[in-house]
Amino acid sequence: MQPKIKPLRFTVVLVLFIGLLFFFLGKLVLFQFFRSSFLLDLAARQHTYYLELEPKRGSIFDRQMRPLAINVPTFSLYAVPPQIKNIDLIVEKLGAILGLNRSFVLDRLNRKKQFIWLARKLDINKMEEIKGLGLDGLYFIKESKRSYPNSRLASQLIGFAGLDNIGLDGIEMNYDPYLRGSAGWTLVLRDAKRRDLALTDILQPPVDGYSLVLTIDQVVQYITEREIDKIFQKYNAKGATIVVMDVKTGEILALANRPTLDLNEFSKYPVDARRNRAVTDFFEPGSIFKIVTASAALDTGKFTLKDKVFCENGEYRVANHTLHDVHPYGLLAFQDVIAQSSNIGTTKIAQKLGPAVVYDYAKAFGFGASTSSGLTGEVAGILKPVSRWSKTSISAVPIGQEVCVTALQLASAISVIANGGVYMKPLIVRQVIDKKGEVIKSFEPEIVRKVISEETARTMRDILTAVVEVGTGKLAQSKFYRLAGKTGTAQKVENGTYSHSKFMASFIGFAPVDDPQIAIVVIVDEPRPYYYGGVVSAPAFKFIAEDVLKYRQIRSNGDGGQVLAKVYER
Amino acid sequence: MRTSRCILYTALGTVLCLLYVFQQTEIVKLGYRIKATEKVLEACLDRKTALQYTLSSLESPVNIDRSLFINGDDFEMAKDYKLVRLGPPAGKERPMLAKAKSKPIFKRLAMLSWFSARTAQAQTVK
Repeated sequence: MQPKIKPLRFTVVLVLFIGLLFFFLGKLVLFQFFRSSFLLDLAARQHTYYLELEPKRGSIFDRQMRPLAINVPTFSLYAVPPQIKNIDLIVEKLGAILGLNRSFVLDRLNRKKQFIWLARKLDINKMEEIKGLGLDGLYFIKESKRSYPNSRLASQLIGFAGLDNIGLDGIEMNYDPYLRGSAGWTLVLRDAKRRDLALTDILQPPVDGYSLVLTIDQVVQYITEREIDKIFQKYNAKGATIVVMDVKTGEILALANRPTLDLNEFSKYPVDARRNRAVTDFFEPGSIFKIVTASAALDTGKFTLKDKVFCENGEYRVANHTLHDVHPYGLLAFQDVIAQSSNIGTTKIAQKLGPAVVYDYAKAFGFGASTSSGLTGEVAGILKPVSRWSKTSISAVPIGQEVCVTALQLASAISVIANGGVYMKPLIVRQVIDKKGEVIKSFEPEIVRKVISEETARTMRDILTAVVEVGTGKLAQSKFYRLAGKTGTAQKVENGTYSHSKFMASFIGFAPVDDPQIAIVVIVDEPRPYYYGGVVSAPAFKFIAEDVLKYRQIRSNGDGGQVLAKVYER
Repeated sequence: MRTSRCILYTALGTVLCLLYVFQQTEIVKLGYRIKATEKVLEACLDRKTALQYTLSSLESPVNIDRSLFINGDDFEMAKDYKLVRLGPPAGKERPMLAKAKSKPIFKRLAMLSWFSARTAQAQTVK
């Protein structure tokens, strides 16, 4: 006979189980239908995160596609102090590899934080060395660092980008919208140990920055920097600037300033070293401005080469001011007025032309206005309108006083004479390209205006050749090429008067005379003990012209075998 | 019959579920391997960029100048110069190379592998 089940106990257990069942069913319904979105969101936050994808900053190249500025991967070292087991070992190893101070590292590692920086932006070799040690609690974050392989070549021109890869000066800043690119983002899935899984979709890909191809030639820049170093040190100058320009296209082949800086350590240099003096500094040009007066005289037809000017034997009164020449001259031919740089002769020429003509030609040569080169901090210089000229201005402006110019303006002006009379807009950027090398934007040479006739330009070339061959620029004579130019020795203004101890020594010219290719401007600020442009600046012009022309000839001459054969045939 | 069918369906369902779980874990494992490979690739690319920077830096005339003059030696530009070309003019390939390139690639490979001519041996001059 089977034992009798008591109905009450059975009912209680049954109710209990049914109750539990309904409880769990209710929880299920709650999670599935009422709290599902909250829980999904919580899970998503635990397992996924949005990651910003940093774009690569574009590079900067010279005209031969040699890199001037590129991004290099660097690794910043951080520590998680709670995970560190052997502090002494870490202190010892980091001190040996990175040269970190023992007390600095100890102080950092003893802090009660989860994240401590130890060293920023280390190169890949140091990173691998530290990683190879296998020390607990040390990790790396990869960052990008803007690096300049040529360190101090064309420093002020290129400028620099800061820690966060934003351009802060020079071309890096002016063309930052092209170089910067735009960030993208992605959703990253990670596991319970917070390791990333490669199961993500890039929701918005990053757009890498475009690269720039400059008109600068690295070799020409180096030649220029080599010479500017020599004159800057030899003459204990306060500053110096050299500009090399292609006369036919207006492309800037080199631009150097002193003092200068190493772009890889820009923060260590004073602000003064970062200034692009070729465009930010203006000065009274002195005698080199006579090329404007002479060009105006010939172009208007009021003077010819055959005309003679009496130079008053070195002393000439204009209104209440007495003008002097360095050497007393009597009757000088028009060419010799410029070749010997006679202030009196030039003033007399200007007086015959009239202030309006001198002003108009000065304007046409680009003075008193920005060259629109796009370089940071460019100034327009000073060229007073005729209405503001005093009675003595006619004896000052034509010889380069009461007027202020920049080195770049001078380079463009002398190029006018070299290329047959056309003012070309100075160019510094040739192209904007993408990472595949395809051209996004191209900057073509631009003719701004016709300044003087070809015949005038030809005559001026002859005159400037005479300056070098028989005039004040004899130290610019070359054995290899015929060079042409004009010297300038301008007194600087000090306390409202012209100083007798501070000068700007300058030389502007072009080469070779027969088929001008390059224009070179050399400006030295306060050279000592010598201060004449013909002594200080002319030799630098010669050395740069010779080496640059040789370099360009080698580059353009692809068939070296034939050249060798020609040499032997002779 | 009903019981055995129920058991069969349950077993089938369980196997399918297990297969699905297996697939998901394999995908995650693949994700780890891909991630590890990506890290290796990234490290190689970083190393390549660092080397390119080092090369550019070494080729820079500023650094060449510094290394040449480090001993205080003085170099002068030649007063006169000649262009000397050791090979054929630029733009024209060496004749042997031009001839080699005219043959189909498989023939060239066969010639290299089985029919390559004896190479000259350098011998010490006594």
